Amino acid sequence: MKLNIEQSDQYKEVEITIKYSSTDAYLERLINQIRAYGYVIQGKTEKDTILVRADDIFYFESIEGKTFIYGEKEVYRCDLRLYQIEQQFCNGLFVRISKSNILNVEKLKSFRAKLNGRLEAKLINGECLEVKRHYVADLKKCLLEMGGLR
Amino acid sequence: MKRLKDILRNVCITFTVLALVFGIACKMHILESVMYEEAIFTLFVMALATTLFVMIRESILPNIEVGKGIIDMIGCMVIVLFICVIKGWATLSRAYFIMIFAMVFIIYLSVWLLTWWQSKRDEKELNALLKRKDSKNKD
Repeated sequence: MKLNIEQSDQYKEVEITIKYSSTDAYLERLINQIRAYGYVIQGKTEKDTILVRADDIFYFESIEGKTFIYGEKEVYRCDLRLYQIEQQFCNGLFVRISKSNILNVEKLKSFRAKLNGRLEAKLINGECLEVKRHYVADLKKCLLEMGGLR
Repeated sequence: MKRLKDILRNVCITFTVLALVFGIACKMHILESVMYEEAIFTLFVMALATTLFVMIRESILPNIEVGKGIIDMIGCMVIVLFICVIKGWATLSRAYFIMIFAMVFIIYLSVWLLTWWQSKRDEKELNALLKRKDSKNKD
């Protein structure tokens, strides 16, 4: 695979071109990941509504039917339901880790097995989220593909 | 309302499990003089009592991790056995209690050990994958 990176002041926005003869699952995943970086989602605070970039999001959480977006320190309300976010975002960068959480894999720091047999994911901002056993396989698959292992 | 729905769901699940266990126990002649007409109501009382016990434990000790299962297991077992003794389905003998307790405890311990061992393996594997992904990103 050839990778060309050009940096110049004449470019006003980032442009990515992918050239290929035939696609495979890994290339599609890479394309989805690039797309995900460009995604924005509407987040609401008490006062106003702002657009949050996907790569600024640490995780999504659903509490009693309400969806929240968690950044490094800030929290926003979101009008979308978790399943809608899953359909839109879980294609490379985000992965579901429990019934109520969707996590940005890029924000992961480490994992720890707890004594109750559950797994805990530690994020780079120090927060910890519980990974349900049911979703461990999806998480492995996602990391495996992001790490380029076959 | 949601709480009531949760309670009802838990009672139904517990009732079904108890009914299955009691069905097997009766067929194997472990329990004696079970009046089938009364059994359904008694099993429902058992299911309700065990669910309430777990709810009370949840409200008193919500954040404990390791001891949670053991407390629930002992509490529910005592409730079930106690009702069995009151109904005259089982005799109150020490050997009987110790045997059931040992069986349940061994099953619980094995399940816990297996789950813990599996999660340790997952932890190792996931951390390795994460490390690999990070090093690839740096490259």
